[in-house]
Amino acid sequence: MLYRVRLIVNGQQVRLEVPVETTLAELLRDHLGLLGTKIGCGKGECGACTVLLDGEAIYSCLVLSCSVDGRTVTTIEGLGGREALDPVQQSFLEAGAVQCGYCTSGMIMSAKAFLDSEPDPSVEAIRAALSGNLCRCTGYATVIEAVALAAERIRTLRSTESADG
Amino acid sequence: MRAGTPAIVTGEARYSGDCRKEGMLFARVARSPHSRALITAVSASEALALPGAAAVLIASDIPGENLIGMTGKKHQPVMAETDTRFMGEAVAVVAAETRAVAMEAARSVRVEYEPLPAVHSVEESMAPEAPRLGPEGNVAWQGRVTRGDFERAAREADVVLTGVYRTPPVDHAYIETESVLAEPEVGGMRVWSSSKNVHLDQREIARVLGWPKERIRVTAPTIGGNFGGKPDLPQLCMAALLCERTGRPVLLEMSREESLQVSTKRHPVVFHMTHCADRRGRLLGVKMEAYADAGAYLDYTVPVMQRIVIHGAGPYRVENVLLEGWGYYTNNPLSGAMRGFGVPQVTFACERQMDRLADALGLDPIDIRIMNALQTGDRTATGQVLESPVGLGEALNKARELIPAEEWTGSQEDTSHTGWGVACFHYGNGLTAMPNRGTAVVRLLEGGRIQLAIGSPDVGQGSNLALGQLAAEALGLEVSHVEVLSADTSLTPDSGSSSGTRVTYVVGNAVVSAARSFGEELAQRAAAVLGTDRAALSLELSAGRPVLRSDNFEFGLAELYEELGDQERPLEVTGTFDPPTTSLDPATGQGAPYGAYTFGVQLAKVSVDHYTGKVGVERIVSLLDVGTVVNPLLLRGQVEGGCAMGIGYALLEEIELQGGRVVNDNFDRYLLPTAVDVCDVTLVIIGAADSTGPYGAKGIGEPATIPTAAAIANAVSRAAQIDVRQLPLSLERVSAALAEREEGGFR
Repeated sequence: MLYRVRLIVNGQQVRLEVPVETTLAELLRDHLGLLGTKIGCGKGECGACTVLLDGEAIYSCLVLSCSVDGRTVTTIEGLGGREALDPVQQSFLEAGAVQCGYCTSGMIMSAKAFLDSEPDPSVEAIRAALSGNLCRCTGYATVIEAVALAAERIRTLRSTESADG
Repeated sequence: MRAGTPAIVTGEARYSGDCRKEGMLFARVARSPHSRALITAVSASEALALPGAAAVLIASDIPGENLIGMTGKKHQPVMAETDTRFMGEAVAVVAAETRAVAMEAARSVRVEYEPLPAVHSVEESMAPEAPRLGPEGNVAWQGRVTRGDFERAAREADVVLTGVYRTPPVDHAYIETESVLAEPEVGGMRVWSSSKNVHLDQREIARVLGWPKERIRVTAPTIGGNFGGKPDLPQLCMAALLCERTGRPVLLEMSREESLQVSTKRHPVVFHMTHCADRRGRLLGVKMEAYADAGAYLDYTVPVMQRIVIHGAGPYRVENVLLEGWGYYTNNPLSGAMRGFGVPQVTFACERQMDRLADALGLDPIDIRIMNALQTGDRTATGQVLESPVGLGEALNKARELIPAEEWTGSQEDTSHTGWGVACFHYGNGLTAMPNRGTAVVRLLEGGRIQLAIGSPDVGQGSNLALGQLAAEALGLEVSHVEVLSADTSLTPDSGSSSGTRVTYVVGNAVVSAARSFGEELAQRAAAVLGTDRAALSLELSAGRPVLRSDNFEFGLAELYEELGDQERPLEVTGTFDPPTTSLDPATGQGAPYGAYTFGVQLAKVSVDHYTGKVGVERIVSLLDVGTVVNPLLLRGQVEGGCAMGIGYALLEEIELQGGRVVNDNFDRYLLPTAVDVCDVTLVIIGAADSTGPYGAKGIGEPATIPTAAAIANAVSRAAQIDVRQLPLSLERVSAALAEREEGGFR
C-alpha cells in the first residue's frame, strides 16, 4: 500500500508516494538520493541515521515516513556545501574528528541539535549528548573537542552578528 | 594537519552501500538455520516465480571454484553445497527488483536439511566422541615456538606460577555493515567493495567466476571501518555471481543482524600459562598452551595462531620458552583477523601472569617489567636479534615517573576502590614470516600533477594522508602536491592488504623508494628535454608550485609533461619494499618473522564499585615506541580509537553464542563503548627512529588496542584485590569475584 507523504527536506517541498513500511531513513536514501544519512543498525542504536525533524535530532531508521507527513527534515546535505561549511562541519574537519566517517553525518546532526539548545556546554554535557551515536574509530575524544570548538565558533558568530545588528 | 576529507563532513562521501546504478537489482542471501546439517534438497522455483525476482543462485551454479579464503587456505565455500557448518552460512542468493521482493525470495528458497550433531566450543571439539569437522580431524592448526630448555628452567626456578585465562569472541562492529555492488562493464565487471585488499578480492572473484582476473576491476570507495574484518568474501563473490548471471548491477547489503551472525570474530582463546622466575623476579622460562576456536573453516586461524605463539612470552627477555598453540574446528562463525591478530588475547594472559608473579615475589608491577623488558640487541622468543632501537625500558621508566607513588598504590573509598594497572606489549609489523611486498607507483600526469598510487585501501585510519606525506617528504614537496589514489585494481598496483600493521612500515617504505626514484626520473627526463646536465637540476618549490630548477631557469612539471613523447606518458616509477623476514623453522618456530616491532606500555586507572561491580576507566596513559611519528593527529586518532576498542574488550563486549546462534545480534545487546564510557588518553612518544622504517617510522594501527584490556584487567585486580582471569569484566563477573573475596559472598 502506498502512502502519500509531503515533507520539507532541506528547505525543499517534497511530495512522494512510498510503501507504508518505508522508514524516513529509507525515504531519504532510496527515494530522494540523500545518501549522506547512513544506516548502521536499523534499530535506533547506533545513531548513524540521525537527522533533524522540526529541529530535533531523531533516529530516522525508527520513524515511518507516513508518520511525519507535513513536517520539516534537515539532513547533513542541508547544512552547508563544501564552499560554505556549517561551523559544526568545519570543526569536525579541523579537530580530526573524522576517521572512516560512517558515523560522522549522524554525529554532526546530533551535535547540531544539541548546540542549538545548549550554546555553552560542558565537556560532560557534550559526552552525554553524543552518547546515542556510536563511533568505532575515534574513541570520541576528537569528536568531543570538535563539538566544543563548534560551540565556541557559533557563540563568536552570534556575538559578531548581534554587535553588527 | 587535516585528517578528514571535506566530502565526509558534507555527506558527499560514497560508501559501497551508497552505490546506485541504473537498472540495479537488490540481492539477499538465504542462510542456513542450522549450525551443522546436510543439505538434501534445494528448490528455487517458488522464489523465482515471485513477481520481480530476477535470479536465484545456489552452489551448483558457480562456474569456477567454490572455495575461497583471505589467506593461502582456500577452505570456505561461497555457498554451502552438500553441508552447512555454521549458522547463517550462505546456501542461496537471490536478486530482485526491490529489497522487499529480494527478502521474500530469499525466504522462499526451499532448502531441506538433515541436522547433524554440532560442536560449539574448543572443549567439545577436543572430546574423543566429537564429530569430525575438518578434513584431518578437529585440529585446524598447531604450531610452536621453542627455545632453550623450559623444563630445566622450571626445575631451577624459585617461583613457578601457573594460570588459565579466557578471552571472548568479539566483533569488529564497524558502523558500516558489509555491502558490495557489482556492475557489468564492457568486457567484464566492476565491483565496489568495502575491503582491506582489492587485489585479493579480484583474484578470489576471478577464481569463483572462472574468469581471467583482468576482466574484473575492484575498487574500494570510502570504507566505513574495517579493523581486519572486511570484506566478507562469500558476499563479495555472490554479488559478482549474480551480476554475471543477470547482466545487471547488483547491490548486496548486510543487515546488522546478518553481519553479527556471519562475519568473522576475534578468536576466543583459552591460555594455560606457566611462568618461572628466580626470587629477584628475573624470568627464567615461559610456557604457554593456547587453544583457540577457529570456527567452521580454516582461514585466518593460521596467522592469528602464529602471532599468538610468537608473541606468547610477551616483550620480555626469556631464554627458555615453550609456546604452543592449537586451533580447533567448531560449528561457530569463523574466527578471523581483528585488530591485533591474537596479540590482545595473549597480552591479557601474559600481563596478568606478570602481575601475579610480581605479587608472589612482593615486587612492584613496573619494577618486574623493567627487569625483564626486551632491550636493543636482545633476542626475542623466536631468536630474532632486535637490531633497531627498543624503547620499552625507557617507556617503563617514564611510566614510573608519570604516576606519583601514592596514587599508584590506589585508594579504598567507602563505595569504590581505585587503582592503576600496567601492561606491556610488542607487535611485529607486517605479515608473519612470509614475503609481503609493498608496492607503490608515482606518476606524472597531465598538468604536471603528481599522483601516488597504492593498492592498499585507506580503511578510515588515514593511510592515504600518511603515505602522501611520506611521498612528499621524499620528493622535497608539500603533501598538497601529491594526489593519492588507492585501492583500484585498474589504476593502482598490488600493495598487499591494509592489515597486520603493515601499511606505514611496509607500503610506506615502497612509497619512499618510488618517490625518490620518481624525483630522479623527473630530473633526468627534464635534462634530456632541455639538453642540460642532470646534476644542474633539482626538484623544488617555486611560488608554491613544484618545478625543476637550475641556476638560471625553472621548468614546470606541466611543461615537462607536454614535452614527453606519447609513449613516455604517463611518466611512471614503481617502488617496492619487502621486509627482511625469514620463514620460521617448522619444528622450533625460530627465525625472524618481522622486519620491525612496535613496543609500548599502557597504564590504566580504574574505579571499581564495591557493591555493583561496575568498573569505570578514569584515565589511560599510552607510552609508545612507534619510531618516527609521521602524522601526530592520525597517531592520536589511532591510539584513542584503539583504547576505546580495548575498553570495550575489557568491560563490555562478548558475542554470546547459543548453539551457534549469535544471541546479541544488534547494538541493543552487543554493547560498544559510547562517549560516556571512554576516558582521557595521554599519549607519550618514546624511543628513536627505527633503522628499517620509512624515515624511521613503525606502525600503530593494531598496537593501539593491544595492551588496553590487559592494563584494565591488572588495574581492576589491584584495585579490588581480585584475581581477574577472564574477559570481559562485566558487572556480573566483577561482582561475583568481589563476593567471593568477601568469604561467603554476603555483604
